[in-house]
Amino acid sequence: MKISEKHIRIFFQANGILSVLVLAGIFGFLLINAIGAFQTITLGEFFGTTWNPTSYVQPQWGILGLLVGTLLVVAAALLIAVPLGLFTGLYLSNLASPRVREVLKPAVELIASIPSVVLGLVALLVLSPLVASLFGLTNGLNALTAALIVAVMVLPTIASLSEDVFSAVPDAYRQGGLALGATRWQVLRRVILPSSLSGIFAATMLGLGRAVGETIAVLMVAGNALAFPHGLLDPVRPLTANIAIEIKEVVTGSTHYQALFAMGLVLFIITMAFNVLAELVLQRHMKRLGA
Amino acid sequence: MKPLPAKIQVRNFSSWYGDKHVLDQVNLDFFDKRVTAIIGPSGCGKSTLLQSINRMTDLVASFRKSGDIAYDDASVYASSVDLTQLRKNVGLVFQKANPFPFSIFDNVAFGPRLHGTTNAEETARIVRDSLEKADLWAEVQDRLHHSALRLSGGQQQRLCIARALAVSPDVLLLDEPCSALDPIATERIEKLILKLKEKHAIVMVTHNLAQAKRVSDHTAYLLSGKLVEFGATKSVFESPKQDLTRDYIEGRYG
Amino acid sequence: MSDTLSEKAYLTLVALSAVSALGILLAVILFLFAFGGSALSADFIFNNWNHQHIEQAGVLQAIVGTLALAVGVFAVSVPIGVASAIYLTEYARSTWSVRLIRLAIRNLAGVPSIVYGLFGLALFVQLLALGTSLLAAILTLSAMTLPWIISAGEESLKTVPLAYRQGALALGATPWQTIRHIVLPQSLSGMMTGAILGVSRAIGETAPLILVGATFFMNGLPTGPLDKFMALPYHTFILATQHADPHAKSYAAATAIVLIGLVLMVNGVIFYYRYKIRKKTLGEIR
Repeated sequence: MKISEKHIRIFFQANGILSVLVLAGIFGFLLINAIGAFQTITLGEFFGTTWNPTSYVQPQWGILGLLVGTLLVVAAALLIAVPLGLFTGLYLSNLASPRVREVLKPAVELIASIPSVVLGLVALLVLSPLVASLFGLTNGLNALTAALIVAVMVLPTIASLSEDVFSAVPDAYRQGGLALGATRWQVLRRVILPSSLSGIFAATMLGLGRAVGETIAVLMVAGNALAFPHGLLDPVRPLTANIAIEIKEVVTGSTHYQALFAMGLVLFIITMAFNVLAELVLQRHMKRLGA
Repeated sequence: MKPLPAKIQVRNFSSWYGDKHVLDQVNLDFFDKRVTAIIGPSGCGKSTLLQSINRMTDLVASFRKSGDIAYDDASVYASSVDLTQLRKNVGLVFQKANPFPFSIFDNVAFGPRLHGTTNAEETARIVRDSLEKADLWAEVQDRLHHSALRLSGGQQQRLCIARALAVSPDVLLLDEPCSALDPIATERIEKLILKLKEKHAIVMVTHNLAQAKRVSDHTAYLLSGKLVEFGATKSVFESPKQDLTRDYIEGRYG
Repeated sequence: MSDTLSEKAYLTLVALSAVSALGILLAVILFLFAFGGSALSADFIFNNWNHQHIEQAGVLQAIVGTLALAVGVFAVSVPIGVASAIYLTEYARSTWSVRLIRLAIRNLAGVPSIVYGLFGLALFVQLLALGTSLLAAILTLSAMTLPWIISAGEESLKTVPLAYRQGALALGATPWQTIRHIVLPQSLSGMMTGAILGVSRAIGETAPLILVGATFFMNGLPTGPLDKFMALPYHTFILATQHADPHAKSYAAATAIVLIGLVLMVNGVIFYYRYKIRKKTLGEIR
C-alpha cells in the first residue's frame, strides 16, 4: 500500500490537533492585538468608567461602564433563569409523568435551537413595549428587557444540566427518604437539592458563561447607550454588543481596533473561566455521587 | 518418538496493566496438533496470557511486559513483526461471541476479504469450507445472507470460530469458548475442538475442570499470575505434583 | 393539614415553572406569525431584495446565501470534525494529548460568537486577504461548528461496541481497516445527525456574519466563494434594527419565519436520511 497505516494515523492526528490550533489561534489574535492596544492605553485607563474612543479631544478607553452593563444583564437574567431552570430540571427528573416529559423535554431543547436573532426580534417586538408600558418609559430598550430574553436563552442550558444533576442522585437516597415517611416535596427539598448543590453551582456557572457571551439579542434590545448605567431600567451596552457595533467603523490596526480585540480578550477569559469552573465542579460532583 | 514441536513458547513472561502485576515469570509451551488447557481461578491472568500471544494487549495503553513469547521460534514482540500476519496465523476466539452486525456470509468472509481475496467464487468456497469446519454449515447454508445477530449463542460462537478459521490460522486461542453456553451447545463445541486439533495447535482457557479433562492433552494451572504446574492432562489431574494444584482440582480452592 | 397544602403549592410551583418553557416556545412562534404572517407570500420567498420598494422585496438571495453557508460549513467542518473524533476514540494513546484536545474542544464550544467573529475577521478576512466574503464566513462558522461536530462524532463512535473492534483486530485487521469496515459504517448515521444539527445551528448565527461577511443588499446572487452574499439571520437583524421603513419589522418577522422554516427543513432531511441508513445497516449485506 502506497499510503501506510502510519500516514493514516498522522492524518487523523493532524486533524485532532487542529482544534487546539484553532483555540490557540483565537487566543493568539486576541492577545497580539490586546498587547498592541496596551502600548497606548494603560491598564488603569482600560478599567476606567468611560468609553469614548472617537472623541476628538481625548479618547477614553474605560470599559467599566460596558462591563457593568454586561453584569446587569447577566445577573438579572440568571436571577430569573436559575430558579426557573432548576424547577424545570427538578420537574423533568422527578415529577413529570413519561407522557408529559415526552412533550416538555423536546420543548426545552427546541428553545435552545431558536437562533438568537429570532429571540432578539421577539424581544424587540413584544418584550420591550411591555417593559416600556409597565414602567412608563419611552422605549423598552434597556438592561431589563435584555435580561429577560437572555434568561430565555440560558434556560435550556440550566434546565438540561440540572435535570442531569438531579437524575444522578442515587435512587437509594430518594427511596431512603420516602421510606422514612417524607413527602415528595420534602424529599426534593431535604434530600435531592442538598446533595446536588455543587451540580447546581456548575449549571449556574455554565449559564453565566452563556449569558456573558450573548451578542445579538442584547444588541437588539439593550439600548446601546454609552452612559454609565445605574439600574436595570437604564439602556446599557454590554461588551459583546459594543464590539459588534464598533468593529465595522474602525481602521484595521488602529488603537480603537486593537482595543476592541482587548475587549474580546476580556470576554474570552471570563467565559473560559466560567466554563472551566463549571466543568471541574461538575466532574468532581459526579464522581462523588458515583454516577 | 520425536517430541512435538512447540508452536508457541512463553519464556519468563511477566506483564502489568499499569501498576497491577498480572503475570509473573510464566514459562510454557503450546504444542502443535494438541489441545492445551489453561485452568485457574478468575482474574489470575489467563485471558491476559492468551491476548499477549497475538498482541491484542497492545490495545491497552497501560500494558507492559518483560520476557518473551515466540511463535514458530520467532519472537512475536520483535519490532519487525507484522501484526496483521501474526494475527492471521494465531487466531483468537473471545469469551463472549462477537459477530459483526453483518450477514453470516460477510462475517466469515471478513478476514479473507481483508487479506486480499477478491474473487467471489474463491470467497464463497472459503466461507463454506470454514463453516463446515466449524460445524455450522448445515444449519445456515440456506440463510447465509441473514444477519449473524439472529443466531443463537452457541451458533454465534461457532460462527466466530468459523470466522477465525477462514484466515487459515496455525494456532487457535480460545478464551473460555463455552462459558456462556448451555451443555448441549458446549458439547458440540468440545467435539469441534477435538476435530480441529488434528490441524491446529489449540490453547483453551477454561473454568470448567471437567471440560479440561475431557478435551485437553496438556494442562497448565495458573494461580495469581504464576504458573503452578504444567504437564500432561492425565498426570496433572490424577497425580498433581504441587499441593496448590491438588487443592484447586479437588475443589478446596477457587 | 397545612403541610399537604404547602406540599401541593410547592409542587404546583415547580410544575408551572416547567410548563413555562412550553409557553415560551409557543409564544415565540405565535408572535412571529402575528407580526410577520402578513408579509409572508410566495413573492417574499422567491423575489430578490428590492431596496426601493420593500413591498415587492423578497429574500431569495438570503435563502441562497444561507444554503451556500450550510453546504460550505458542512464540507469544511464535517470531514475535519469526524477525523478528529476518530483520532480521539480510535487512535490516541497518550492520555495527555487526548486531554489537551478535549480541553480545547470544550473551551472552543464556550467561546462567544462575537469573539469567533473577531477571529474570522483577523485571520480570514484580513490576514489571508479573503475579504468579507462567502468563503471567510464559511471558514469562520466552520471553526465555530467544529467542537459540536467532534462531540457528536465521539459520542457516535463510542456506541460501537469494543467487541466489534477486538473481533476485527484479532482477525488481522489494521486500525484503519477496522475503522473503515466496521466502526465508521456503524457510527455513520449518528455522526450525520450530529453534523447536520451542528450545521443547522451554524446557519442561525448572526454575530460572526456582522464581522466577516454578510451584506444586506446586492444585485443577483454570489457567483464565487470570494463574493459577497446575503444571509437570513443578518437580513433579519438589519430589518429589525436598521431599516427605516414602517413595515420593516414585520418583514423582519417574516424573514425570521423563513429562517426557522429552513432550519426545520434541514433537520427534516436528517431524519429521513437517518431512517434510510438505519434500514441499510441493520444486518443487511454490505
